[in-house]
Amino acid sequence: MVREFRQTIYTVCYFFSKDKEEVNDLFQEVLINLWRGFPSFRGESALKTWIWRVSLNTCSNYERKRRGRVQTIPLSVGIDLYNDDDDHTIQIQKLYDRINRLDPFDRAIILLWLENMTYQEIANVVGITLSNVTTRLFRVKEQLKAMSNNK
Amino acid sequence: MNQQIVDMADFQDLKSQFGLLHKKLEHQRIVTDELLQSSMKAKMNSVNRWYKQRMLLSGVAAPVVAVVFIAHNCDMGVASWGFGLLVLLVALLELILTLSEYRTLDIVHLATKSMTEATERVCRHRKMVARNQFILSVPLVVVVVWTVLYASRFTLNLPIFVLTSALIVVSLMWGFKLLKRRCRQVDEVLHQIEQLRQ
Repeated sequence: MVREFRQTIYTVCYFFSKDKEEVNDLFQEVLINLWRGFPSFRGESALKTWIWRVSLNTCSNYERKRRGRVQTIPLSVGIDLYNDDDDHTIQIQKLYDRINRLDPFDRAIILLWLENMTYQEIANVVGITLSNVTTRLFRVKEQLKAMSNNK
Repeated sequence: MNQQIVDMADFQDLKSQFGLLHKKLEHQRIVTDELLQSSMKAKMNSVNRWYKQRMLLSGVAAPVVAVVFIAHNCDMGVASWGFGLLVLLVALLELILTLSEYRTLDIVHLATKSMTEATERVCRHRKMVARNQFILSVPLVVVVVWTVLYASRFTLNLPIFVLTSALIVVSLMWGFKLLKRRCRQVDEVLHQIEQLRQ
């Protein structure tokens, strides 16, 4: 499961982190939550929807406080999208800069939209109504447009 | 549809940048082997510890308790020493069966074996656990009944009768739950070995 959805998990962690170290921490945190939550996953939603939900919840609730946090083993994610300077990474960093300025909830919605999910699927993952998704997405897109105009 | 066309036009750059991210991640190895290995090791240690505890309990603790019981409670004749002897025999049987399960599974070296052998061992272990539970169930029922009767001194002492029965039922349920959890852990270990070999 982890291997199959590692891209999804990494994508969410990337857009919710400040640096490579934080991506590693978040990635581990998401994996732990997936492992813990898997026995209670009843298959009522698609596996992908569930993974998105756990990843987004973990990332948006994540705090940098070490105290009280479960001790995790060092895990290296073999990619650094913060420091690499090839053309593709620069493009990805531009995307990161825009999306990272949104608040966590809007960030979640736009990520799901970028993942080509339908509005209904987005509603299922974030737990709001279809009309709410439409309204919020419209606002988020306006914000993103404003960001590119301000550049 | 119109909205989608507008979306496509306005956010083409976002989509293509996101596509680049996917493309990049596809070619990267996001290491999870360490985590899998660590989780597998923890489970293997847990199963190994569980078997050692069981062997200590049935090979040392239970026989010692049974011998001490026989030495100090011979006041009721066969009812006492017979009970102690039965506990001793059940403990011995449990020790033999646990040892056979432990050897069949060979959890410590499971990860080093071929996938076929590891799967075969886990399947044999699963069958063996079921068979051993069945074998042990008959003497255990006798021990349980005898314990309840002994605790109430072979009279109808209802409170002691109920209390002992309840204690035994709870401990048996707890034991079976633990056993089930260990079996599940063994299955998970096998699954993780498979994932690591992929």
